[in-house]
Amino acid sequence: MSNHTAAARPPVYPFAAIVGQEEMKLALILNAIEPRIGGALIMGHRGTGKSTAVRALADILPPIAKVKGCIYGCDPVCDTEGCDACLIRRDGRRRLSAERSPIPIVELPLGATEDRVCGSFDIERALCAGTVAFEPGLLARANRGFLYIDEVNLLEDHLVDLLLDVAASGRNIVEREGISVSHPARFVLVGSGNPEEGDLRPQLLDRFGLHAKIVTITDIDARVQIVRRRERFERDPLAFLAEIEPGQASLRRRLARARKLIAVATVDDALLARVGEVCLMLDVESHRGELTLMRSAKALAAFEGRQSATSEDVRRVAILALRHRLRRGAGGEVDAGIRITQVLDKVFPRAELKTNTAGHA
Amino acid sequence: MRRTGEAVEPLSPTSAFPFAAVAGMQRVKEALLLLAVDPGLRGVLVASGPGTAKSLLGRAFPSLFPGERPPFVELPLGVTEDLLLGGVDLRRTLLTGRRHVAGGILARADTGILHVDGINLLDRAFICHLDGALTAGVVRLEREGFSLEFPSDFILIGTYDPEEGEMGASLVDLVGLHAREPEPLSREEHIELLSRFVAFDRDPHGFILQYAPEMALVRTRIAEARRRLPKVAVAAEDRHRLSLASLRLGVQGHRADLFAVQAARARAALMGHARLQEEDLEVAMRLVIIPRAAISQEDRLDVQPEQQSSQPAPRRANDVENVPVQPAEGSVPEALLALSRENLRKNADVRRGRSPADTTAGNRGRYVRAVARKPTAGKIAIDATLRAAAPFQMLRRPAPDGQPQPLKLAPSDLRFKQFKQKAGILIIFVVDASGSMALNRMSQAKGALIHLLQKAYLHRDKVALIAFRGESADVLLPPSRSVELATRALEILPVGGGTPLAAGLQAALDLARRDQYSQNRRKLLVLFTDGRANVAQGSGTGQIWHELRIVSAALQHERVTCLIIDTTHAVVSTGQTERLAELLGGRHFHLPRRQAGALCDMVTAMAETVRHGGA
Repeated sequence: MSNHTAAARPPVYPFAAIVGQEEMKLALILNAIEPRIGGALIMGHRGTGKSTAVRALADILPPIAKVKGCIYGCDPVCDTEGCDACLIRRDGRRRLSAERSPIPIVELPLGATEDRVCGSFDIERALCAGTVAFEPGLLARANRGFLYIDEVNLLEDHLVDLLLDVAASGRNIVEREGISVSHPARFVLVGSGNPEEGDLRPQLLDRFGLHAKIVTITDIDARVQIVRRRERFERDPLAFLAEIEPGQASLRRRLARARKLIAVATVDDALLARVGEVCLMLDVESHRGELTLMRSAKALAAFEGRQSATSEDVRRVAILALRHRLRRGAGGEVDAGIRITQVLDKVFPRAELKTNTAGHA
Repeated sequence: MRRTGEAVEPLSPTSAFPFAAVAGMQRVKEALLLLAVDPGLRGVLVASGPGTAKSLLGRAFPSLFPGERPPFVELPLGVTEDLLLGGVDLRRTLLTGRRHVAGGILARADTGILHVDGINLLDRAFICHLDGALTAGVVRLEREGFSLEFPSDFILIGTYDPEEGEMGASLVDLVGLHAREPEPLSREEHIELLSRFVAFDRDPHGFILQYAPEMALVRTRIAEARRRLPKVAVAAEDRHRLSLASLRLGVQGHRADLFAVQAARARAALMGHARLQEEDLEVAMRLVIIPRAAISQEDRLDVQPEQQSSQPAPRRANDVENVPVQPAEGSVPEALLALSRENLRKNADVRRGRSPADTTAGNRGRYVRAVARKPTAGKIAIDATLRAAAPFQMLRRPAPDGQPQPLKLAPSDLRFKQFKQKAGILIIFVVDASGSMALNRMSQAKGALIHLLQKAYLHRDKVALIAFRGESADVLLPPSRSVELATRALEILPVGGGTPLAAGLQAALDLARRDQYSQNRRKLLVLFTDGRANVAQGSGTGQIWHELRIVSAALQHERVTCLIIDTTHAVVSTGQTERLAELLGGRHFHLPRRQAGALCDMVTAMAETVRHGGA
């Protein structure tokens, strides 16, 4: 089987050159800093740069260390998670030989069959060589990285269920005719789509950590800028990339620093209590809401170079973390943002916020 | 680059008829010329009536290219996923005994032109694959044990007849140009075209030669335009005007702005302008922005002002004219706006946004893909089974003497056909919006409906919404799965006028029949009314119950399960809705006694019965 491509992959439009759509960019960045946020769902108008942003992420993520030669890209230091081969290789050693590798961003094409998503037993080899061989699928490749599904609302339900299950448990288990294989599959699930093409089942909605909504930009100057940048990129991609590089480099630095900082980032008890209060007042259905809100606030603090989250951080991520977790009431989804803002205003009065942020500045 | 198969293809009017010999269709020709100047426009969607030679023009498109002609690949509507995306190459695999994979239609169209005739009829699942290839420029295969990527960078030419249904919005957005030829060919043009067909049939070679000089000129013109293209100056003001126009016309996303600048440049290059002229901008408006505006406006149902008057409801087609389409000052010529409205009117009945294909394991519907897992009722997919078995034939056959051997199949090779069929049911809500529906009850009915819509969504059901008032019924929402669209349609539903109950049921019947023909789903009709029918469809009011009887019988004949929800209080009931329920063979309830939740459970239970084939 030959692979036709690889070498001739065209350059990707850079993240730092994406105009506007701050909500979407923030959702992706927070997940890149703290994968436990649980992924992002990006829904909105067609032609607003959803897939451009996800594909652009690859170039600003810092590389990670992985066990040399491991197809699942296991972490050489962590000994609680890993594939069977790495667990055997480890055998008492603290650290396995490592290599640096980019964080994988794996795209799940529509029409993918389940065997390629989860992996399958290679029957050809079983027949020829008499050994049972597991051929890993997309989930294996996405371990410790991102799994992206464009038009997630059009994906078959059973596949979406399966992906969300694996994303939540962090392990992929494949069983067939008495043979069972399991391997680590810890990835950030990012889905995007246009709600007009069909909605996503409400049960699936709240299993995505963050929910970003994007709309067509209405500022004329910004729109003209989008066109000009795109034209310049298409005319001479390399020159354009060079021009945007300082912005990209700065993003890369901030992300790398934030990924270190997140390990020690904290939310103080008083703020935690208020996060709980916000969720209670909004009648958020599960604890996932509080947890996501807290983790997102910490990730935002880390991105800003701080160790502890502030109420301003909570405010900035609250809509992303909660809008899809409110009970579907008479009001519907339209005013979810307004309802959240109202509650935030009650729990974190504006006057107090000023002094709060001033103290941290 | 031409595929060898094409060289021996016999000459036929559809394969070699010269571009320049097609009469009329100026707008379409203009779009195709622009695309030849700048293939970065990604393609043209051609909308025109039957017999206008649109697919002929599409097939003649490669002849516009100066120099080497790009490969030209047809995408037939009856395609399967394997053929489109690629898969095991049966011949080579059987020959060599190891698996060979070959790209499908999308891979073969790479660096060339993909032509789809009747593109609006293409299955939703395949449209998604087209979308994917157009955005990524590659086809990724993650199927049946192999993981591959093929380059798939092509120009798309799709032709369709808008009378047969509109295009999905996603493809309209991804393809640069959209040429609508609203007028059928004039009598003279038609006769001219026919006589040229006859001349072509008599002597194809001579006919082509006759047009050869003209075609050579066209190619030279395009080659020159391509040279001029990078030098065409675009003033900042022109960019502003185009962006402002797509903003004001409510176009979704930012591709329109980009394609509009591109199209204006291509047109300027073609005309030899050094900088964009007014006409270049107008062409960009017509071919890029307005077609997208028409589609985006349709998504927006919140444009109809609430009317409380007792005037008869205006037809929906006219409502769309009231869309507050604000022209950008001085940048949108009046004539173009008129064109935009004309588009809206055209699209008003046949709406976009077909929902994703439901694939179920039943054995009805259309074969779209093969699966390894045995469905409850499956037919064997011979093609896919052969492909699955092919790699193992060498291993399984013991005879080395080279004698032809029967194919050796193992149980694990078996593949089963997966058919595309609508899994859910279709729930048709018919709402009485007449003046007698006092406002409070109407709002209760609306509340209950929104509840029901959300429930219906959970079951992958489709919903349609019909309202009747004044003298007629309007389909506010054709079968759709978007709760968002349905809720919006409902929220703006005005009340007032007479009660043309029979017209409402007739509209439901038409919808049910159309659905029966195209999707064959089970159907549930939920009627909200106070039962005071007072407007007949044809003859006088005396005929009302006669009409109701006929349409009810027809609905029963179509096996539509009916549920009548009477919005009056049981105490003041006139017994009319009960009588209607009897005619329809359906169940009957009063609304006010029930909470929205209870009503919801009831309809859900009914839907469940319908789903499982009861009732």
